[in-house]
Amino acid sequence: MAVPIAPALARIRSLGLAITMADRGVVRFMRRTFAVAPSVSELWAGSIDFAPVSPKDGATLVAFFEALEGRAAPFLIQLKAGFASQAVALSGPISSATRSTITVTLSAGTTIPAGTLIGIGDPQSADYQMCEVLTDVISSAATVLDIAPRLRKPASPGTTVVLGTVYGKFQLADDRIAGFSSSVSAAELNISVIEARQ
Amino acid sequence: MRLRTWPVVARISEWTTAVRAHSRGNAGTSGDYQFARAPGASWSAEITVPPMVTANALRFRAFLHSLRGRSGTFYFQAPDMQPVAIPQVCTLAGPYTTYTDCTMHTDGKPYADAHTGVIPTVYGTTGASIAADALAVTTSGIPAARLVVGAYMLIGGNGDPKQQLVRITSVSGSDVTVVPRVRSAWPSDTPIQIGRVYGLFRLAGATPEVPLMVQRSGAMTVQIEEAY
Repeated sequence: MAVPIAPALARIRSLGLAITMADRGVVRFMRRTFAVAPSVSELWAGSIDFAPVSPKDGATLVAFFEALEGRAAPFLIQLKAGFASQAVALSGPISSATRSTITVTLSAGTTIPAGTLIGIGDPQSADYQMCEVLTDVISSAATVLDIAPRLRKPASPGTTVVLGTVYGKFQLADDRIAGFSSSVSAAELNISVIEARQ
Repeated sequence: MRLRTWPVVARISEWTTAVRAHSRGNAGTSGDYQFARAPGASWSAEITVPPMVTANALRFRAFLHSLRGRSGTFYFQAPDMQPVAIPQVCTLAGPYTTYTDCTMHTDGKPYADAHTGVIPTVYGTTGASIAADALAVTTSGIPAARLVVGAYMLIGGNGDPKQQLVRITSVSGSDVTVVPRVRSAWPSDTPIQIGRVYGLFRLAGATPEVPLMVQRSGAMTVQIEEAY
């Protein structure tokens, strides 16, 4: 079944996304030294605050998210360059990848700043993953991108990577949408999300 | 291991850098308390980062993510770890006289409230060996004017994994006491430095979200703790 895309009236007013790191815990010794194991699972989580809309549009908007039936179903929302991602517009195929770096064939000469979001694969595919570029790099025919979160699945050569405006694939973090309020003149919605892996 | 430093795009508007002591104890049945010091005091800090333009906020988000949770470490320098100098010679009007002052004004004397720049880092060595868990450090080669209560000091050479950030709590000639206690034993002639010093830190909890808004980010706080 196609993953639904958030309607156009879902305009993001503020966005707080961070990669949460599930790790094996912190080992605390007598001297309070730490041994922090590398994370075993990394995924996006955070909150999205939508711009106020009319009460009618607000009802449409909240209906979209309620149709997800809580945390059960994923949805896609566009995260635009210049706001959620650095102002870059590039795309190209993967030539090779490790878990934390991918090599992409891109047109040469564009600066890709740290903080650029990338979408790997087809957003409708279960293998789709959104990542972030961690270090500045100049695009080339073999652009090596240092990324987080780490790739969950091996990326096949030829998989298309989009840089800049990408889709985030999320699911609601709660079964109840608590952040919806509507008045006579306006409706506002805030949702907490976690990355969907489906 | 990748060497990371706190990014310059993330200015610091407020910070609370403090030594977190380590003690164990409990309340007695009569309501009195008994605690015992334990090793393991360390630095912790809460840093407030003011709003940034979006491009810088995204860079900062990438920096936080590059740490990959609490496993990543970075060098951090709080603004007060980079003390600024004041005019060393102040000419005062009236009945006052000219005096020379380079003691960072712990002496209570009046001074001109004008910065002349960043105090250069001074390098010295330990004048004697230091035992693990010691409070006392004997310095050598550090000008007396720079041995000031409250000043930060680094013990150990750059790149030494045992290098430790401490704060001077008392001064007696070239002898100082410091907190947190020195974790590792150091031989005589170990490098020390005072001035633009830094500490090795990690995130103290979950990776914080950078709140993105239209054309800027919101202010945010980051909890960090010393990594050692």
